[in-house]
Amino acid sequence: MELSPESRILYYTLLSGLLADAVDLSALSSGLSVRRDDPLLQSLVKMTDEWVEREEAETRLRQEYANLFLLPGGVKPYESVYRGSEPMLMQQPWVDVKRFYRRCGWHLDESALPEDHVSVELSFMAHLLSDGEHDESSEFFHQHLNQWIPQLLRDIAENRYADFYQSVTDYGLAFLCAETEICEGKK
Amino acid sequence: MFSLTINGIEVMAKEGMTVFEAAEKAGIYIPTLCHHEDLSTFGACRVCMVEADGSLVTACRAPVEEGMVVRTDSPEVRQVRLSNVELILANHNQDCQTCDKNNNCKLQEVSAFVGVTPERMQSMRRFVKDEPVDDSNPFFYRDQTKCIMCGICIRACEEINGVGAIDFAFRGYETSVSVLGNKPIYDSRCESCGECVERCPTGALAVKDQSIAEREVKSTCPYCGVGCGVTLGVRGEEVVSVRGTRDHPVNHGELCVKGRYGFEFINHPERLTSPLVKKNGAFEEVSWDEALDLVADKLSGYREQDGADSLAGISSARCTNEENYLFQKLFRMAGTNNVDHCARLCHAPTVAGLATAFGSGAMTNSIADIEEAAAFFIIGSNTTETHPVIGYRVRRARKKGAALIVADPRSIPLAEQADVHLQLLPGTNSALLLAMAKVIVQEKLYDDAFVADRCEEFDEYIEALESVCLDELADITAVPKEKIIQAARIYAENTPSTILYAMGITQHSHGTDNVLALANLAMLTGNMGKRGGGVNPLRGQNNVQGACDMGALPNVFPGYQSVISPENRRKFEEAYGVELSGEPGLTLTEMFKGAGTGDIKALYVMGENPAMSEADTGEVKEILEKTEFLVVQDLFLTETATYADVVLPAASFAEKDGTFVNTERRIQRVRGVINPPGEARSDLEILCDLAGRMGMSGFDFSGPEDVMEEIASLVPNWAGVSYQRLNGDGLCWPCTDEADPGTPILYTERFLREGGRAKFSPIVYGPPQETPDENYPLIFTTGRVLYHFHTGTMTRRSRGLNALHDRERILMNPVDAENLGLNAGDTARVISRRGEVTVEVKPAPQIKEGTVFMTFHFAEACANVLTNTELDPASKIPELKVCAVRVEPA
Repeated sequence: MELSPESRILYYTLLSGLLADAVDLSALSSGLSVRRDDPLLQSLVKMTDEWVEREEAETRLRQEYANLFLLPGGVKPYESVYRGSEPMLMQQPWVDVKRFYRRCGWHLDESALPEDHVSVELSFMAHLLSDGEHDESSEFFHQHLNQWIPQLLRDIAENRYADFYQSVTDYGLAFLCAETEICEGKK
Repeated sequence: MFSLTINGIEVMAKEGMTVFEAAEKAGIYIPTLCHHEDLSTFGACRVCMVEADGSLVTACRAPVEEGMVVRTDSPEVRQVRLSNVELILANHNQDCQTCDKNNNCKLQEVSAFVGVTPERMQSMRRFVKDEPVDDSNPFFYRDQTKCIMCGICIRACEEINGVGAIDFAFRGYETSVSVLGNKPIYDSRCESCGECVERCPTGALAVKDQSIAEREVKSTCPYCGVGCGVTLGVRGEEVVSVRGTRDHPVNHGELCVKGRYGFEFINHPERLTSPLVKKNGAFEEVSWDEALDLVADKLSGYREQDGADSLAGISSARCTNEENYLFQKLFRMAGTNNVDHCARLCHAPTVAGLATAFGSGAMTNSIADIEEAAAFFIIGSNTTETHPVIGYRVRRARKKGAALIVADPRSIPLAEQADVHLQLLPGTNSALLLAMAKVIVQEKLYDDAFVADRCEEFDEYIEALESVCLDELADITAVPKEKIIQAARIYAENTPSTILYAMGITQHSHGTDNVLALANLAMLTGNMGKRGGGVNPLRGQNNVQGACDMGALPNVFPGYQSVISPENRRKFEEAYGVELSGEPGLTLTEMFKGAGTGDIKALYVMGENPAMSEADTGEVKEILEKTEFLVVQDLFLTETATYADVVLPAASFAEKDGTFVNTERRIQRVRGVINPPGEARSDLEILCDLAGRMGMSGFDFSGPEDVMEEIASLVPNWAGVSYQRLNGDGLCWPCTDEADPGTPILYTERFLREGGRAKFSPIVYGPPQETPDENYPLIFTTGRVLYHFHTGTMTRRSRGLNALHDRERILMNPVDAENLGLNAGDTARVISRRGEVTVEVKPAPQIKEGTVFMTFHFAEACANVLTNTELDPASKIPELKVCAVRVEPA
């Protein structure tokens, strides 16, 4: 699938935002309204349309986010946990990611999220693309993103608390599949 | 003093010193591989050879003599040393570049010093043993290809810990360090304390996957009440190592497996990172403003509508003194004394009992002088598993000849080394102690001078003892009378004798009487106010002593100043600027009852897990479910937190500054080395913010040091305490002014009761509230194991500790198991009048017939589902140690 650079930036930014915090349904619905025919976003559009009609949707989304990402029964969206020698925070993968950011002149401001949180890594990719750093972006995709985020998305999809986020994972996996083709071509 | 010459330099040395020690004192380096300052000399490596009066000797074993002439660097000495090192290197695995001890290896250091050359290494016929690495232990590995047979590990295991799990095995070239049966170390008696690993001079013993720290910071262990000094190794934002602080007065660098290796919880991915509020039965993330505004509104609302006593706070024996102080301040300023913490479940009888007997409810002696005891009476304490570093001291003292009496219903590890093991029935402590007192009085083994000079109400005590019958008491305990007599004589006739005790004494419906009985024995024999003596409650949590000291109790302000006293109230009212209640508040157990009836509307739980630790947790969970407003502040989503309306993420001991008080009353610094994860905050910050939102003034502290200043101004026993003075070894309270060095041993001159005398308290034996009958024929008792800590919040998040002890099992005597048709590994139902659990069976001969045992570490099979809520009337502790159960195959 061919994706324009602008689209790729948008998709990374969107996925980063969806995984950074509980979804703001009305903002998402508004944002998706101009891309309703986008093939990558179909699952997300459909789910958003359904949820906008639901009662107490915002509350349920926040609860789903908490159950999936903040509480023991959910997933641990950190590269260290997935790729470290132990399933703990702040392992070698975190150090490697920070090193990569520094190499690209990128520094994380005061943030509650560590550098290897999924949304931070996705946001970094968006920044690299918007700065035209295609070689670095391809390298980061192969060395980091694609090494663990597909598995994270699959774990979210299989988690018993996932409802709205099923569509996020559908979108994420489809996008990363497209990205794999693009970045393979750049290898 | 002797005068000797070393390398032409005159050196003065004390009699008994070795040449090695004398040289070291004079700043002269002698290489060595098998010598270690903490251990006995071995003289095996032959690297410390020196020439003494013309003969070659090992410096580590040769005693100094007057006029001795020593050369440490003669050509012959150099040649012998070089040859010995070359022989060691000949069979040594030389993967130095990738070895965990690279640049930190004694063999490297010594090889460089003696001048090993590449040519000589090339010329040697090298043969490295083909022995696989033993990585069965989850924390460290053993690589015999790097072992230099120095024996340091063996001596550490024998002399520091006292376990003796390893030794030399086989002979000649085949000699290796092994365990009994040459099995993997996991299958041995090894307790994973790491003392051998810490001292190994090469990479033969090394911690698995340990990063090298960038910096190290001294702090205090967050686990048990021993309060070991730890040095945290930090790399970036991660605690990567923990070692014992060598010059620390409590532990001298020694640690147990939890303290040394159990820090995985700090960076665990399940740490709470943001405030959560429950809406429609599920949690959602909220901002701190939203969470704290909600809590403030609710607490203020309930106070206004239903009165201040509709609020209740459970403070934390895990949090710092400053945080406990602020917690009680907040609730007291809100108008209620409904403040308590988990001491209610452990040493509340100690606080009540020892205060009655002596005037203060704390450990009377110091951990250091435990090793000076001529006799130990350890009752209701599985010391080597619950307070391991104190257990090391007991084992060491035993090896030096101290007598040991152990009173425990189980054959605990220390019982194996005891002169006499009193294997009493659970709940019969006071009968045993009365019997011992009877023997001491009848045989006139008591210290009448001490009793006359320093005690009162002795006559009443003697009169009460006359009515008890030794034979009857022995029958009650099921301990043979002869053993009781033997124990009494050992305790009374050896001076000084020390008493160590824990939950086996306190967690009973007569817990306070049990403590008073111990105090009576100590007074009777004059074992008070002297080194190696005393009555020493071993406090469980890292800061349960501090939580008590800081007034997180319903009946006292900080410093045990009674809330009833108008004078005390005036002092605190002046300090806090509001009127305070003079009515004692509810205890922990009463708070739950109140929450169940709806009298308590809001319950605030900081750093405690009553859903696992209270008696009859089934009822507690029902109460938590229906509590109108529940706030839980913790590191993880604990079993209690799942019921909360608001969950607040808190910082661990590694992420904040403050102080803890250990069991010997030593106030010690805790230092933050990393930031808390996500949006988690220190409990101090949370409480100050909350207090501000509730409109309270007096919480504008710049940090914990400021809080300590306020504490010192209000607590006379802490008046001399400041952060500056705590930077060294800490201070044992009482510390009443800036010149006071602290008080390691209490009552050397006088007791703290009015009049300065200790008080005898006659007691009467009372049985447990629930005894076996035909429906529930077994006695159920509870306890702990070495590898886990209390409700498992921290230790069950360590994969290594879980690997060493992975699940709950019910321990029962093999005869009982057979009678029930149960084998090892079978699943059983354990049923009491309060509930049932399903658990794996483990037949264990160390458990008496008719008794069964479980820990309370595992939520999946929580022992406290079964335990009894009957209370000790004086201290309100529930009878956690005794109830009746039946066991059936599942």
